[in-house]
Amino acid sequence: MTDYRLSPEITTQAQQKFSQLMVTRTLLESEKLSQGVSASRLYAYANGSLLYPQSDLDKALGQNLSLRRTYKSMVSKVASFYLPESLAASSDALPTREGEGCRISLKKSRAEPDQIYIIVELTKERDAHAEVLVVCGEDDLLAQIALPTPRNGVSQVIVEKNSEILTLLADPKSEAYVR
Amino acid sequence: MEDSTSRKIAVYIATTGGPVRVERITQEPAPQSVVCLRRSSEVLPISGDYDDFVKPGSGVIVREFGPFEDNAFRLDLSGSISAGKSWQFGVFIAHALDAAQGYALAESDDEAEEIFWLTGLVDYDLNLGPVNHIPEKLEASQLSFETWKASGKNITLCLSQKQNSEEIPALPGIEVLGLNNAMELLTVKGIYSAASSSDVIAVEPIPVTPPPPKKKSYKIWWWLIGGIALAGFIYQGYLMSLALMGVSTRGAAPIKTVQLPAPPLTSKTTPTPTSPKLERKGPEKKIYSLAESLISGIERSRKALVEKGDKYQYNDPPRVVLWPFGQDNFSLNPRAEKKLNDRLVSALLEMGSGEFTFMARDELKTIIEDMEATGALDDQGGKDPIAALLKDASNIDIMIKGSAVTDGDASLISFKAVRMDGVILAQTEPKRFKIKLRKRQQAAVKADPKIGSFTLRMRAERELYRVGEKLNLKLKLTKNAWVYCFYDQANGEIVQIFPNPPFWKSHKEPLLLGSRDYTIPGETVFPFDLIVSLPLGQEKIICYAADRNVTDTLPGELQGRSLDPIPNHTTSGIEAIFQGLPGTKVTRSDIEITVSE
Repeated sequence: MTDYRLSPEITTQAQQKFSQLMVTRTLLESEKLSQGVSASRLYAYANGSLLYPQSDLDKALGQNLSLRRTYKSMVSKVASFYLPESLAASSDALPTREGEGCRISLKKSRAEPDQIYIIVELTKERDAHAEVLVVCGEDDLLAQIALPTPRNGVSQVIVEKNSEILTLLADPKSEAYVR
Repeated sequence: MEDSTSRKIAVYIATTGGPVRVERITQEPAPQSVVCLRRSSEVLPISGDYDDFVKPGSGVIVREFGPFEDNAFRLDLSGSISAGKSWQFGVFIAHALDAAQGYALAESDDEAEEIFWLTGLVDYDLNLGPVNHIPEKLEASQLSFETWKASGKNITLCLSQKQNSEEIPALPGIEVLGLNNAMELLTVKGIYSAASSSDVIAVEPIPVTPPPPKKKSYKIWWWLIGGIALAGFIYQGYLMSLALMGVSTRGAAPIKTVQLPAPPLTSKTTPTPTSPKLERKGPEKKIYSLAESLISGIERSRKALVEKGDKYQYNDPPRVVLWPFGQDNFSLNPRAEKKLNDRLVSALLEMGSGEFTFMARDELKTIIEDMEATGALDDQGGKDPIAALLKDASNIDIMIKGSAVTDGDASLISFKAVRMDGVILAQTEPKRFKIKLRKRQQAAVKADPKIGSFTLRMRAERELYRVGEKLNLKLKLTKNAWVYCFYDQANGEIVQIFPNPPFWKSHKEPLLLGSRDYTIPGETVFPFDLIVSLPLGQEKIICYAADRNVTDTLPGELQGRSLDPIPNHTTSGIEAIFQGLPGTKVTRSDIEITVSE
């Protein structure tokens, strides 16, 4: 008989995966969660057919960890651009993030130092789809923000320095998607 | 360039919601210029146009006042401006003051030595163009004018010389300038001599020898208090000074003024006696303006139609109803909706009393509820109140139907007066009300699953478009289908945009593939631009997808052989044709957009 013991990391990963699968199954089978989120609606939100923002979905995503994971999984499949976590932690307080065909940089406003520009540059396909920036943190935190229609391949928004999305973007281990 | 001795000038941009002050201009290390609301991170929708106005190539700011370390600016405004381009003149002058030595933008009215109230378009050659809504902008600024005057400020109201002077009433204590070129204000106010950062507005003597300088003229109206009282209003006679100066935009000359006698008063220029309209403020004023547009529009259209031989039989007097807002495809707070409708009805009653009979809203609601209960509304597609009421409400002549779209933290609300045969008699321009829609209206309208077994989905980038902007749509089908799209303009004309003559040159049938994203316009399927143009108001794009090629079954004018307006068809009629196609499953998707100045 083989005695196989799971390491704590694998146990945690497995629990997360099972939880995610369970939510996905629940969504697909019952079509509704307790918060009233259907699978089709969540997918529509992820792929952009349902316009951002949707307050009920955002609320549900904020409250339900498994739903967030499912949503992140969906976004990762449909996003136009993926900007992965940095390989090395940057000492730069406002790091630039590079992805295939897309770059995200942060600039401090000179007029209002507590406000930061998030600048999304589409470096290859300038008219590619870029409506929402989704940032997923290491601890399954998730924040997203609507992007204005890119002009000459650039879309920029201003956020407060202490906003959740900026905190996540500044974390080199977070992952960003542009969908 | 500000220093402690700078002369502070408050620059206000005239808007229909009241004057908006340019609070601050800052160079920013960002790729694009932005307009922000009250120093917050809220970016206003005019930012894209502002960026174009600033950057070299398309714009004039960097060209005239640059170069700068960063060619992007952040402009902070004291209030929201959501559409239009009449802010250009105010923004241009604000940048000029920011660049001029010895001058600075006042950060508050208290520190302002002078106040500029500006509106106008500025083209690439700095020509100052006229804009719409001057009376509304003036009315919305009345309170500010009074406050500024009470605090002893010098006020200069400046607009294009091409502006209709009849739109400008007597404004005692306010200097009114009509100019040809945006630079002329700097010259007139002596700012040019201080703006040493740019040679563009540096002083150059006017040559006295040939070649003679090109003569440009501008008008100055000085409104002085007169002694004519008209029903409680003191009408100020005015003295018109016409100044002629030989000046190019790069130079200045001594101003020669010629005093002219006051022109005779005509019925158009004479201020009216005290009227309820002039005393109204805020939302009330907007509602009365909407009511006035509807009543005058209905009367104008009826007259024009009769002259063209229209035989429509109205009740005597015509019966008018207001379609309940809450029944439409957007969600207005019920209390706000009731208040808005009730106020509009009372304004309509006041203005159209005797000429129209206004039916109670509840009466209409009862008819609609009856129709819903009996399924009559479903028979009509459930969406089109005009079509639904056609058969069952024959005692109604005209229906007034409201529409709303979100505009930041408010809503743009407009009304349409539609005759029961579908002819649009009046269409108001959208007015901004501080009413939040209950939930965000979606541009994408899902197809009615009852109609077809597949779906057609259309999306626009946004709901509000300005005149001159390109309209881009995304279209997607869940399976292959034959598609026919129509553009329903605010003036009632319908144009078929797909299929279209260029499309037929390379295609045999309007077949679009399922699960593929189509862009309208695009290179092959929709090989032309959709440029949003006048008239202002609500417009709609309607697409039908059929599960077979029905082109030959459709009437010739609906086969997409022309881009001219389709004669003798209404949206309801087209809907009926598509729904009535034998042996065909049809689905529909539509998008409403609002065209604004």
